[in-house]
Parts: sequence; C-alpha cells; structure tokens
Amino acid sequence: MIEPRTDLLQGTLDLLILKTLSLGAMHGWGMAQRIRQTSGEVLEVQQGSLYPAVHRLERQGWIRSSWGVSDNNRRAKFYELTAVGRHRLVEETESWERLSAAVGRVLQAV
Amino acid sequence: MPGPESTPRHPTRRLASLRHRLATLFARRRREADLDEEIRFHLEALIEENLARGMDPAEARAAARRAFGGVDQVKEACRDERGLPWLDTVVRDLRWAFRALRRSPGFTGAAVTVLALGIGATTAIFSVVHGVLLEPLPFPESDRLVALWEANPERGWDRANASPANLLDWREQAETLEDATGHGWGGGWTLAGKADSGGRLERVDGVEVMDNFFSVLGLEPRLGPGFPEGAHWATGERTVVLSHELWRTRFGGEPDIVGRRVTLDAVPHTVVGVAPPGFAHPRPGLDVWVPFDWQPGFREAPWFRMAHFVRPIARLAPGATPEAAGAELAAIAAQLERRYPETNRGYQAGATPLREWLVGDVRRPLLILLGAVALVLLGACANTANLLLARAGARHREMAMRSALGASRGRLVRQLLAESLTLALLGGGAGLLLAVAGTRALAELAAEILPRTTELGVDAPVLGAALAATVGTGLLFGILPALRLARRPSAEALKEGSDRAAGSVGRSRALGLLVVAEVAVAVVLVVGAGLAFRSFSGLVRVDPGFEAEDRTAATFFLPPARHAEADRVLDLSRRLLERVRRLPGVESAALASSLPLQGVQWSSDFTVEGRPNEPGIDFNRRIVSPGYFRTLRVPLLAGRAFTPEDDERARPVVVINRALARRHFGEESPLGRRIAIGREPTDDSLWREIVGVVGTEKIQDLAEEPRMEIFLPVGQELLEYPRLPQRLYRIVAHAPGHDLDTLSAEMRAAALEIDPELLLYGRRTLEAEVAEAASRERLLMLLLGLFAAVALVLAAVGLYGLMAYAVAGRRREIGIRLALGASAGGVVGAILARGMALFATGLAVGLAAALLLGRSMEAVLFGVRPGDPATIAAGTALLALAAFAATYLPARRAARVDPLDTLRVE
Repeated sequence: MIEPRTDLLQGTLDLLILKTLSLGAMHGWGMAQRIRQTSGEVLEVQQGSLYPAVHRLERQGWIRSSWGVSDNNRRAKFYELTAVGRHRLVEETESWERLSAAVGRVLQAV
Repeated sequence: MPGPESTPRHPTRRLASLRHRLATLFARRRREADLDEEIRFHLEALIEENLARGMDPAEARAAARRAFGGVDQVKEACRDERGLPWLDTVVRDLRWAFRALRRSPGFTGAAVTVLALGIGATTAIFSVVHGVLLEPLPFPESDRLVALWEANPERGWDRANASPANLLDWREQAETLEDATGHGWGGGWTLAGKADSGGRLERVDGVEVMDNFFSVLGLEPRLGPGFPEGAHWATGERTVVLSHELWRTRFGGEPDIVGRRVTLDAVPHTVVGVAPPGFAHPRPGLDVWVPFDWQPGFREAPWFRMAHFVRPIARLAPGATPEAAGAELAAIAAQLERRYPETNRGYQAGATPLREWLVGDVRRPLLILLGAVALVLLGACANTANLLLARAGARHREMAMRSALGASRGRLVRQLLAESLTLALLGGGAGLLLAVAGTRALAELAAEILPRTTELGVDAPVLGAALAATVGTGLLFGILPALRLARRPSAEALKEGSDRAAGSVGRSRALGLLVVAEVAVAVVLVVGAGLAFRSFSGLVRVDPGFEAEDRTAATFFLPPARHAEADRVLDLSRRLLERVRRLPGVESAALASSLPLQGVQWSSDFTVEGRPNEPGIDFNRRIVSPGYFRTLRVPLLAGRAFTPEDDERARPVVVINRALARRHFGEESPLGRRIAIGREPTDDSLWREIVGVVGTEKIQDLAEEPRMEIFLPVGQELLEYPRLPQRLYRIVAHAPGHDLDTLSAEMRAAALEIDPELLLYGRRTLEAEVAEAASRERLLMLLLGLFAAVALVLAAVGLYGLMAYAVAGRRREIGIRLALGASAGGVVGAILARGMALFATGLAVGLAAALLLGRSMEAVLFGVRPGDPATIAAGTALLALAAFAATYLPARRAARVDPLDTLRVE
C-alpha cells in the first residue's frame, strides 16, 4: 500500500503550520512555499500531509478558515491563527526547543 | 495578501471541535465543493510554477499532478480529519454497497430471496413462540392463577373437568385458594335485543360461567357491576355480560346498556356488564358470558357430583404455591371420596399453573418448530455466504486495486461488511413483511390447535428479534468472505490470472455436505407435499352419497321458553317447510335433524325384531321430512321413502341405509322387518317397521367407512319421549339454476314472517360444506407445499452457489483446458456432472428419509400409500429439473471463460 509519507512528524508539521500562520493569513500553497523558503529549501511539505494537517488543526480550533481572493485573483481558502492557536504555538515552540536541546545534549555526549 | 472575508468565532476548543464536526457533517456537499476547490487551487499554482519554469502546458500539468500525489487520497485524508468520520463513512459504505449490489442483480435477487425466507420464517415462528409461550397471560398477576382438575386413573381420566359439586366443595374448603371459579363449554344462543334496530335476531357464541368468573381472573368489567353473587343459581333474574366487540357493533357502544334486557333463546337476560376490550377467555370470538342456571336443589343431587362439565380456574391465596394448592386439593379429594363413595370413588384432584395448562401441550412442538426454522436460517446464511464467496472470486482484483490505492484493510473489511449488512437488511425487510403476513395467517389457521392465537402479532420484542436475526445473519455470512477478500494481497494478486479464490478442500467438502443436506430436506418435503396433494385431490373426488350442487341449508332452533308444546314445534317446523317449498326457484325442500358431513349427532343401540340377543350399536339416528331423500338425491334402493301420512298419528316406520341393511340383513330384504331404538322394548308399540332402504351418505368425513343410519319421519321421534320434540332442524332447499344467496335471504325472511323470533342461522351452501370436509387435507397440502417450495429454493440456491464458487476458483484450470482444445460442451458437461452428482447423493439420502418418515404420515393420507411411486417419480423429476437449472447456469459461465484472459502470463 502506498502510505502518504511524511518526512516530518505530525506534531512538527503542526508547529510549522502554526508558526507560518502567525506571520499572517495564508492559503495552503502559500504555506508550503513559505515553509520551503524559510527552511532554505530543506523542508518540502507534501500536499498529502499538508492539507489533512490543516483540516485537523481547523477542527481542533487552533486555526480558522475563510474564502478570499489570492493575489492572482483566484478564489482561495485562507487560514489564520485563532487566539487559542496562538497559545498553542507558544506551548509547542517551547516544547520543541526543550526536545531539540535534549537531543542535542545526547548527541554531543561522548 | 488580502485578508479573509469574514471571521467566525470559536468559543472554546472542545466546543469548537464538536460544533465543527456537526457543522461539517451537515454541510457535506458544500464541504466537498470547498475541498475540491482548495485542492484545485494548489494544483493550478503548481502548474503555473511549472509553466514559469518553462515547461509546456501538458508537461506542466502532468508534472504538477505527479508532484501533488494522489488527489483522491489527499481528499480522503482531509475528510477523515473532519466531520464524524464513522457516520460519514457508514453512509458512504452503504451507498457503495448499494451500488455494488445493484451491479449484480441476479446474485442480489437470489441472496435477498434466500435471506427473506430464512429471516421471515424465523420471525414468524418466533412471534408465535413469543406470543404463546413467553408472554404472560393477559390477566393481572397471572402467575397466581391455576387450573384445577380431576383425575380418575381407574377410568383412564387425567386432568379432566370437574363436577360442579366437587368444585363448590373445593372452593369452600381450600385455604391455599383465594377463590375458585369455573366455566362450561357454551355454544350458541339466538340473541334478540330491544335495545337496537327493532329486535334484530343474531346467533352469538358464549359460555356459561360462575358468578365470580371475572373477579377470579382479576378483571373488572369495562362497564357495569358484573354478575351478582350467586348468579349461577337460577333464582331470580337471568343476567349476561356482553363482549366489548358485541357491545360496540350491535349496541352501538351505548353507555346505558347496563340494566337493559336482551333475550337469549327467547329468555330475557339483564345486561350486567361489558367485558374489557380484547377479552377472549376461554376462546376467541366469544360474544356473551352467561351464568350457569343450576337449580338450588342440584347441590345435593348425585348427578351434580358425577357430571364433569365444568372447567375450573382458581387464584392462589397470597403466599401459596401451585404445589401447595395441588397437595391440599388432593387431600380434599380424598375426604370427598370417603364422604361420597358412590360418586367420588377413585377421583383425585390437583392444580396446575394456568399458563402451563393452556400452553403446556404445545410447548415442545413449538420449540421444535423454532429449532427447525433456525436451522433453515442457518442454511440460508450458509447459502448466502456461499454466493458471496462465489462472487468474491471475481472481485479479488477489485479489492487488490483498492488496497493499492490506499484503502486500509480495516476499511475494506468494513465496506464488505456493509455490503453484507445491506443484503441482510434488504432480506430482513422483505422477511419482516413475510413474517407479518405469515403470523396473521398462522394465527388464523392454527386457531383451533394453538391457544392464545388472538394475542399473536408482530410486536416490539418480535421486531427486536427480527432485527437481531438480521444483523447477526449479515455478520455471520459476511465476515468470512470479507476477511478473505480484504487480505493484504501480495503483488501477485494484482496481476492477471490470479483468481485462485483459495477454496480449501475442507471448505468445499463442508459446503458440499450442506448442499446434500439441503437437497435431502427438499426431497422429503416435496414428496410429502406430493402425497398431501394426492390425498386432497383423492378426497374431494369421493362420492359423498348425496348431491351438493345448487342446494343451500340453514339451521333453526325452537326454544322451549317460547314454544313449549310439541304440537307447536311440529306445526311451526312444517309451516316453515311449506313456505320454503313455495319460494321461487325451489324445486324441493326438506327438514333434517342433521345433514351429512356434519358429524354423528345421536347414536345409541338398536334392536332388530327376532334377534334380541345381538343388539346393533353405533348407528346415527336422524329425523327427516318426507322430501329429504329426493331433495338430496340420495338413491332409494328398496321400498319407499316417507310420505306426509307418516306422521305422529300413524304407524311408526323407519328407513334404513344400505350400510345397516348389509350389516344386519345381508342378502335378505329388510323390508317389513321391525326395529326398535334402544334395547329390546317392553312395549309392543315401540317397534317400528322398516319401509325403505336408501344409499349410504358420508356422515362424519369423506374418508370414513360406511356408517349405519336409521331415519325417522318428523313427528315420530315422540314415540319414545312424547315431551321431547326435535327442536333443532336443518332446512335444505334445492334450487337448480337459481342464485343461492338470494334464496338464502328469502328463506330467512320467510322464517321471520312465520315467527318474528325464528332465526335461520348457519346458512351455507352444501357445496361449501363438502369443501370444508376436506379442509384439513387442504391445510396439510398448503403447508407442506409451502415448506417444500422454500426447501426447494434453498437447495437450488445452495447448489448454484456451490457450483459458482467452484467454477470461480478454477477459472484458470478451465481456461487451460479450453486452450488445450477441450470443447466448451465438454467443460459444461464436466461441471454439470459434478453438480448432478451432488444432487444425486442428496436425492438418495432424501428418498430414504422420505420412505422412513412416510410411515408416520400414513394416518393423514387418503387413497395413496406413503411409498407411492408416481408421487416419488414426479417429485424427483421436479427436483432434478431445479438442480439441473442451478448447475447449468454456472456451467455455462464457465464455458464462456476466455482462455486468453486466464492464461496471461505473469
């Protein structure tokens, strides 16, 4: 079976999406572009994981959506952070930093 | 980028989540469109990017698609994140299931039929079992009610009715009983009431009861106080309780019916109550309850203690058990035996819980029937599973592809189960309809064999059982094929030619056995039905000894309360006969104390003069008017029939039938010999002269041996009992070419003209009477025929399923054979041979069983032996035809296999 492959852990993807949206409302394509650019072309979010994640985040109430018009005058669905989402972003960022620091310590141990 | 257009608000996270789920659930279509558009936007952005990179449009599009991945999968994943996934998928699965089923109508039709039969039969029988055995009786605290009985082992009586004197003693003395009552068998009364349209006459059914009948059962009459105390002692006014139905239909439901008077058989009764709606004890359709009319003097009379005609019901005292009551009654009975040795010698008494009393006899047969029907349901499940497996072979590839496209195994199993459940629900729905009709039919047909048939119906518990059976069935036959199909396939399964439906040898054998069993059962039932059919058709061709066409009959009764004297009774009877004779279209008419095929009415001994020491026994005595034999065209074999001169003043004469003449006179002529009713008469005037011999009519039923009959002319029955004229007569009229319904109505009107309370009831044509005489055989034929049809369908479908399954599993082999030059006909032939071999095995087993079981049918068969070769041959032919058809269809499909198709090398 061909499983939708994720290079990123689900929680990490959520974090990236939240962070990206914290900079302003965006549609899915925009988010993928932004993540790619900001990560220096390292992180390529697969559409197969992006959209389900976005929908899940919406269902959980951390982001909300509305239809708008994109810069090339097409109708697109925009997402933005909710207040709860902002809180969540802070929590998740802290927890990520803690985790990566811990992993780093382990890797540096001799 | 421009901001969004609107900002919806989300209060808290959990609530938002729930609201979101619900909202998305209901806005499904819009949601789908949104999702579609969202994805498309992304795709187009990708395409544009590619175009910007310099690809041409087609390449750009293809590259974008590839980069995006599976659009449907993404959509699916998004959907999964939203809404109430399980509800959503359930709906989708059901829709998918419907489509899949619609694509193969033959399979669906067969499966639904089989399931409907199984579930329908099970539900119908369960509703009977539930209503009769499981539901408590419709009385308050019905488990406190017991039936009392008497027994006399010396005479071979067990659980018999009680005599009134004994019952009254029990009632007085028993402490474990709060109260005891009793009812009789009752019968018909002619009801007339001033309460409604001018005293319309009507024949009603009722029973005699004791004063506390309703109170012991725990019921209050719907209206009125009920019977006064001591109502069964015939002092004072006669009273009656009407049924709710009678009160509503005949008396318009008038609230002031209590206190009014109605006449029953010309005796006025005061209405003291209306029974609760639906009350029908001791039998359905009762119109009135009338107290016994016992004279106070009876209490000490010996016959009152000896005549056992009352059926007692009692309510236990608080804290008492049926066993304790039984023990106490046994003690009381012993006491009574000591006190009244002449009447009560050898009599015992006991108590049984009432529900047990009413349904105990039928419990075992009903449970056996339920078990049998459950087996039928299992058979239906196995058949359906078989059909599903057969179909599975063709769907292996479909499943593999879906799996490759991203469906999880659980998903596939769920979808396949949805398909099974849908099938089961369809079958269950159809089966429920069958069950409702079947329950109603069963209740009517079995009203005389089963108790409590009025309480039967498809109610909540039965519906619950039907639903459980349906869902259980669906899961049962669906789970195995679903698990098989959804097995994670290796890459092999995706390739062409791998249609190995993996039929393990063990499974095939089990299924083969099942089919053989089903065929055997079908054989037994088909042969049985054939025998029943031969019986029935033989029976209706029997010559009843008289002609029934164009003749209609009715009954009338001249009650002593209105017509006390014998002269008056005779006069009225004759006047009515005259009137009817003169009605238009009537060729002849006659009176008879009973008609043929209505049973033996009056039998006793008789003596032939000159042979006092060998009294004849067991003859039927009938009183007829002079035109009787002519009206019914009973052949006159010797001497003469009666004339109007043979009346109460003339010399006593009789006519005998051929059966009696043969038995007692052999070849001699009986004419002129004398005969007496009863033992040898002391008085010479009691001898009667035989003046004629007529043909033998069928008295009780069409299959009987000839019965002896003695006919007396009207008026001469007074010879032995001058004060007891015949009061109940049938009057029959022969009117060829005339409308019998009109004639019947005219007869009724004529009777009312002679006496406004002379009701002609029980009006029927003689043809209907003759047809009814074969009703039991007809019922047996219909029931067996129905079962046989069901068994035939199951066996045929089972055989078809098995063959289809086998064919599906061997497509490659067949393809190879065809490629190697085998003819299509040969392939078909091989498969046919396999199928018919299975059939032959089942046939052999079934025939053996049929011959064995046939012996038990002998009692109900007429004119045909259980091993009748013609019936067996016909049944075998029918089954062989069905088996051939069931095998041929898959065989033909096998022959159509395209060898190239199956041979594509992996």
